[in-house]
Amino acid sequence: MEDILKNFNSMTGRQLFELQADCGWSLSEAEMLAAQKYFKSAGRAPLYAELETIAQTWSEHCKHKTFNGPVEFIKDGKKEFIKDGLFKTTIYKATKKLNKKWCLSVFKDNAGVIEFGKNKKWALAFKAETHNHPCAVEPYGGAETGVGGVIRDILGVGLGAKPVVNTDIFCFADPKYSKKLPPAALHPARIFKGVVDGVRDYGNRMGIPTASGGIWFDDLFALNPLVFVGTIGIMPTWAIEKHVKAGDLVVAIGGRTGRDGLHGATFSSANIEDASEVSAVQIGHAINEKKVLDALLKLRDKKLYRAVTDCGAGGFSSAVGELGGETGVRVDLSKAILKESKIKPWEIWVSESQERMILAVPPENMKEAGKILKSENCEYCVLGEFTNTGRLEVFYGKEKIVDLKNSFLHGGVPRVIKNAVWKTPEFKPSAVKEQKNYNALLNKCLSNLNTCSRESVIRQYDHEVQGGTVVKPLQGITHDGPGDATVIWPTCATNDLKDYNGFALTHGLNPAIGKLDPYQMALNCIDEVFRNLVCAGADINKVAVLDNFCWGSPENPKLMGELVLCARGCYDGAITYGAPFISGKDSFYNQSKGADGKDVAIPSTILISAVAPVYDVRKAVTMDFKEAGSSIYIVGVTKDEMGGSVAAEELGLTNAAPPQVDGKTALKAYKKIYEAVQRGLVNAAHDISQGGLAASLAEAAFSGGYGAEIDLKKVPASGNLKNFQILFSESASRIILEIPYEKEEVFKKLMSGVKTARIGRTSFVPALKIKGLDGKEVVNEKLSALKNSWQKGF
Amino acid sequence: MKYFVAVYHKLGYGAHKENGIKKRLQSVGLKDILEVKSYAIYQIDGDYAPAQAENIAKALLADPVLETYAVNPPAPQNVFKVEVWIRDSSTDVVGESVVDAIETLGFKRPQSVRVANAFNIDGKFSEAALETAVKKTFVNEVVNKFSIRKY
Repeated sequence: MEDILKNFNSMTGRQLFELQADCGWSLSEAEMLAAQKYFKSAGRAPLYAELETIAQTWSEHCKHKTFNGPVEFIKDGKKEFIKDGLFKTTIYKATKKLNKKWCLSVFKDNAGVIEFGKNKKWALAFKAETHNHPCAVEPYGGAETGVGGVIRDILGVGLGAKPVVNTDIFCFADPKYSKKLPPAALHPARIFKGVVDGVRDYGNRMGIPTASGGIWFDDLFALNPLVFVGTIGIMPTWAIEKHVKAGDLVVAIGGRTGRDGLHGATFSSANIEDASEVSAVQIGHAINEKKVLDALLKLRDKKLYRAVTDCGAGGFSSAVGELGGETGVRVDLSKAILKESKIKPWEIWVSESQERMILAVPPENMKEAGKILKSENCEYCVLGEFTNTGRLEVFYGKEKIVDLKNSFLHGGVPRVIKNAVWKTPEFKPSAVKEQKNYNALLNKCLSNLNTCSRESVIRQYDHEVQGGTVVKPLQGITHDGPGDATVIWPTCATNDLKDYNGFALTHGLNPAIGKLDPYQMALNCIDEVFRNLVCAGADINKVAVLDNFCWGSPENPKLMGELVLCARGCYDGAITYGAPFISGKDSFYNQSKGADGKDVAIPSTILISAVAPVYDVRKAVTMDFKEAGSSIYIVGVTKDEMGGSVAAEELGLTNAAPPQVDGKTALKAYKKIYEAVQRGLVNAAHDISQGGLAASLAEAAFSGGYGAEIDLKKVPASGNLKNFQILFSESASRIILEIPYEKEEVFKKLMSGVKTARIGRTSFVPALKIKGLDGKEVVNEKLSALKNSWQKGF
Repeated sequence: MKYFVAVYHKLGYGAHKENGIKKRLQSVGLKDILEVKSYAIYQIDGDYAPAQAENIAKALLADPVLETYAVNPPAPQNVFKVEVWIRDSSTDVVGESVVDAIETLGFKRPQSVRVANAFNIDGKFSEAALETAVKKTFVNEVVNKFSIRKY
């Protein structure tokens, strides 16, 4: 290789591209030419480890080139040039415009940080990541290391936060998938099992509750599953900022370095079939990470280091490079603690061996830090020191293997224009023949894969460890109903049992709407998180959101068009609802060749994760009906919006319009509901989502063990709707509330000016009875039957 | 020197696991399974006398209430023996923990410990059919190596 690199500066673009392909760097010809220009101006040929460093640092995974680059967008024939890229003009712009004072650190560290609790003593850090490509190849190891990685993001934000809850959201194909798969692909059922096992084993062994999540099924995820994992941590506000000083020691703590996980960053930036190599897949070691966690928090509280970050994609190369980006850094890799002796220096540099973190420790603190690390059985080594040279210098003993200017490494990646197109589709009213009885369709909707119970998965996770899960993922009288949001009381971090401040967290995800209208997908997801949060009693005036975009190839103009629309939906949603984005991530190239050799991309998908304060966790609300004789109210308007709905899937409806979100009206309603919950007027609140009003009523009823009698004539509707649409439309911004009889008048007064209607009452009779528009019963089903349908999904 | 320590469930304590294995193999089309017996194999590479290996197995690897063990056990007769190992190029997390634990117990640190999931399976099927089923369920060749033998 050294011989080839001697000629690097005289290679043509084509030769450079072939070289990067042979080395698995996932760089473009333009990027290789930019690297060549740098080395030409430096008057020397590159060293192999330098090109590896550039490949890691410039990968899509690390540099987010698609989101940061310019876009030429043609919508319905009209051209537009987005010069500043999507991130600056949508996600970041919304946060900047909203300028919320309670956002303490956004888009500059490993996670977003917001205020938590009272007296500005605590802060909350939230990060959600994807680990899609590794999970497609090795589901168990991929999921484990995904969880481990996002936990380390929280340990590496500021000076470190204590993780208090993990989240998990998956997109899989039907576990009973029967179509032909390419030879190397794993069956969706196996991916499902492996991923759940991996998330379970890592979270449970770390002693962190996995308490919030979801699963979406669509056969287009057969080859490329999506695995989103998130962590929330609590930290003292003094620990939010980190500053490296020249002279600080570069200290690596945690796991040993081996050949596992080589080229992880460049692997996740490529199509799977191009680059599925064994070394890109790693196996997690939760016990090692627990040692790191325990040691790190002790070191933090004694203020023994000035900065910390985790070794994620790119390993030492990105972690050391990132911490030394402002100053300069010199390390000697011969000091690293290794798993094996045959590893090459460049492999040590870019290895993605797990459970490692880098600290900047002032030399005078090293002795005490070493004692604490030893006492926690956490291995460490001093790799070098931070300098003031503005250079990244890497040695192996006396041999220099990397010497790059930080300004080139972090600012030298060329910007490439992406092409995006979008043609707005036309939708038709949903023409369905009205049925006399909807029992069968309701049962089908409840057992649909995207509605049915996730208990078999949720129960595998320890969602109670740390003792702070106040509102649990499974709710109701027998603890098996579908909660809207989880409420956490993080006393294990604050050690204050007299402080009832907690937070609610939830997610919004709906690729079915995205297939029809990516702009509305983003808005619907944001609306869904608001619905879920307000149902749990969280303050919807202080909602922070995270974005995770998962897409196919950004070289495909149609998919880029969907991305532009979705990002704009995020901007409009954030501004309308007043919810800043505090962190986010993107994952591209989620596509592979199917058994027929054709490229199959996933449905373009965004996950919105959200967190909001619950000032008194004792006032949190769950979704199950609590008593007989209460009134059932609906907030919001039902429209003919069957597009992307579960009922449309069951009946094979196409071209139906997806839900259109009216954020201003919705927010006004949510603020009133929040007040009603705070005033103790609400027994139960449940959002209307998959399966529509009928499914939502059924879930609240069978979870609480009380029946319901409903009159569809009372449901506020727009247009000339039939029973079918009122029962199963998935219009946004609707919530059902159980209001006790004695509080009804106060509630009605409070809700004035908002579309609210009393649609029925709860009952001792364990059945869901719904009268249609003509007064005849259209649903009359036992709760046991409905629950049975819901529980038998998979 | 390499020692192989097999750790078995005592009668009645492994049924749930063995039923699970049976069901997973059946779910991918392996028919006529008569019996499955699952266990773990620890491959300990270290400089130990046989009595020391016995002590490591007894004090560390087998739970005396639920499990029994055998050091370098003879091959099972007239059944297929399936072993699923983590590839040498991948981290064997349990193996690494056992290395540390052996040292903590006061023995010399072993060069390496690797762990396999193993099961003896009896039934009216061919080795090829079993291999296909095992590959679809318990083995991912990206991170695993495996063997199937009938003695």
